[in-house]
Amino acid sequence: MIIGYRRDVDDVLRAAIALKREPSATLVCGKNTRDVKEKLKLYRGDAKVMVEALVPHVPTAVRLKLRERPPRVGSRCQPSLHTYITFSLRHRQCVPDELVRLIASYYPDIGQALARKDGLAKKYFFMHMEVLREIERLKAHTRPRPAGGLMYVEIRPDHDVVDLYLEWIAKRVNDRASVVKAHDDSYYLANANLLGHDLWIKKISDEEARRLIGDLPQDDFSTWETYYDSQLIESRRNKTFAKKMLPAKYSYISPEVRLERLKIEHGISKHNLDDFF
Amino acid sequence: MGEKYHTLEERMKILADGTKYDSCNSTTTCHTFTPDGRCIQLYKTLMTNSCSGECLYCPNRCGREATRASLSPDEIVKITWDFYRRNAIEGLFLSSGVIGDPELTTERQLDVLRTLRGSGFNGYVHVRLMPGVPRDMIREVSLLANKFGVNAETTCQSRYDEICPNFDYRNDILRRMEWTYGAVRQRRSEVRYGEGIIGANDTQFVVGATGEPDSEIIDTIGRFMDSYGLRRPFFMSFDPVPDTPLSGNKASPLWREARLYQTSYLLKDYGLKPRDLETVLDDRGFLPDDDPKLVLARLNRDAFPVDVNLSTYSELIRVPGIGPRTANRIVRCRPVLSYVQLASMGVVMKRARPFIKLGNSRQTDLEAFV
Ligand code: SF4
Repeated sequence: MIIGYRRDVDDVLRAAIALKREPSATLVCGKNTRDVKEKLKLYRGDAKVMVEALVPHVPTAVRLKLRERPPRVGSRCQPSLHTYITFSLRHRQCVPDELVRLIASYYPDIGQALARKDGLAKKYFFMHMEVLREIERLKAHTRPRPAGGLMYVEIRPDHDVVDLYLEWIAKRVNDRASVVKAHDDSYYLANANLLGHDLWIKKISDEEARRLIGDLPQDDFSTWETYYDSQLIESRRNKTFAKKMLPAKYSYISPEVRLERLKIEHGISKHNLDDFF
Repeated sequence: MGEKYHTLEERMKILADGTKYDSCNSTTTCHTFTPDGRCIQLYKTLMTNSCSGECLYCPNRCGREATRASLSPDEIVKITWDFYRRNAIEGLFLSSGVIGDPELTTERQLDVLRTLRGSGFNGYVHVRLMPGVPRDMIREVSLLANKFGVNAETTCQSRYDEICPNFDYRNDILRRMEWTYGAVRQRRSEVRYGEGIIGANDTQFVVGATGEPDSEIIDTIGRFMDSYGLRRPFFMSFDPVPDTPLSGNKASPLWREARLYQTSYLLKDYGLKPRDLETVLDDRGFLPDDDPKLVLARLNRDAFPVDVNLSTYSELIRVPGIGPRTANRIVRCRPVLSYVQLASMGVVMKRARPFIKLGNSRQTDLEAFV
């Protein structure tokens, strides 16, 4: 049997249940229904079926396990299985069939997958963490800059998280629209409704992006630099630790982070031209 | 002492410099790190570094030769918005020297908060309240700030009198801590989670300014947690400031601050009580420069090794190398069949090995380890 399923949490779960019933089935994953159907056409044989036909309902007990969270630790929420699957699927190296087999191996006690007892569970646990960390990294270190009355920022994420970043920036800078350039030269407009569009987040052409932000002015972050410099306690300088906290590989995220990383490396010069004269 | 003219950037530098020793991070995003490894999450500033107080350790104490400056509420709002939009900060940490009296100072702080929130600012706001702040103002701050509190600075009245001669520990600090806790509780009863700001109270200790032992600090934290619902204490190592009465004293070692933070987590996240930690302290009441959880485990050898598949959550979290998160994972997903599984579940085996067993098997002898 050939089972087609979409690359989302619900279908991964259904596919896992279906696989438990039909262990020898072949799995075919697609981005959306159309994509799955296209892919299914490439297979020979009659026993081709969409997963929802095989598993119309996910048992409630299993569904509840999906959202169940381990108790909070301090102020931090622990990931649920839903988070685990969602973010694993966004990893650039995720193989959805592998994930389905992992969930199926624990079915019906699927919550066990979170405990990362075996190699595969651990691999996907780290993959989902990598994606979560990438989002955190973008939220922490990207620095939108003012341009033409809007904000402008460039991002180059490794995983499929552009939509999450757009949602976040729209909420973060809620009084202005922001133009976001993703690494594949796609432009998006967050808070597009503030500029009269129907949508909150919208993909735009590069001409429109250029029209909105104009010629990108040289960014002036001297005020921020002054503040950053003022926060150093020289007697506590700890280069090794600071380098670990802000690794060089983050420098690509924004010019500010690049500069701060240099300051960690070489220290902050206490003398400027004004002191000299 | 009057203020000379300084540009906005110069004043910003002077006032931010005055708060660099303050610990005030929220639990969310670290936007960057300074070369000393501390993270920057908030725009930390004083409203002014002119102060009528004479605290012995403080660079802002009145009469000290220092460059004085202030920022107006509008200037602070403008800078905060600018940094926030640029995603360089999560919010604002606002402290101040005492301008005239605590009431006037808090009124200025409230001006900043009102303007910020009035302009749609959703970021995090942490306010250091003045000792002796009026009760109605604490209430108003609780409507606008995510964290607020008065600094306890030290552990008791006599030590406080030694270093802060202008204020009264019982009235200006402890009573205000009671009021801030009252304001937090009132807010919790009025607002549902996610529908408005529900702040929390905090306090800060200057570690090592009056020679207080760690035992006193730990007892005080325990007392504050019980009486004032304190969730998180902050610590600031005493660093002698030139031209102050304590300039000749020795700086408190940084590791002491770190060990106190670890101890406060044991109180907060592990549910330990100050008396559980008594054995960790040396004869003079000081913490050793070692992880207090590990020391505690070494001293309670009879309680180990614990069987990973049979012990309770509270027994598991006492094992070095097993934190609350991993303990949860283990409890939920038993049976654990091998040490490899344990390691893959997040147990730091190097530390935990001597303290745990799986069925009848133990990997390292505790005697050999201790
Ligand atoms: S009241 Fe605060 S700012 Fe003023 S001297 Fe005391 S510690 Fe310093």
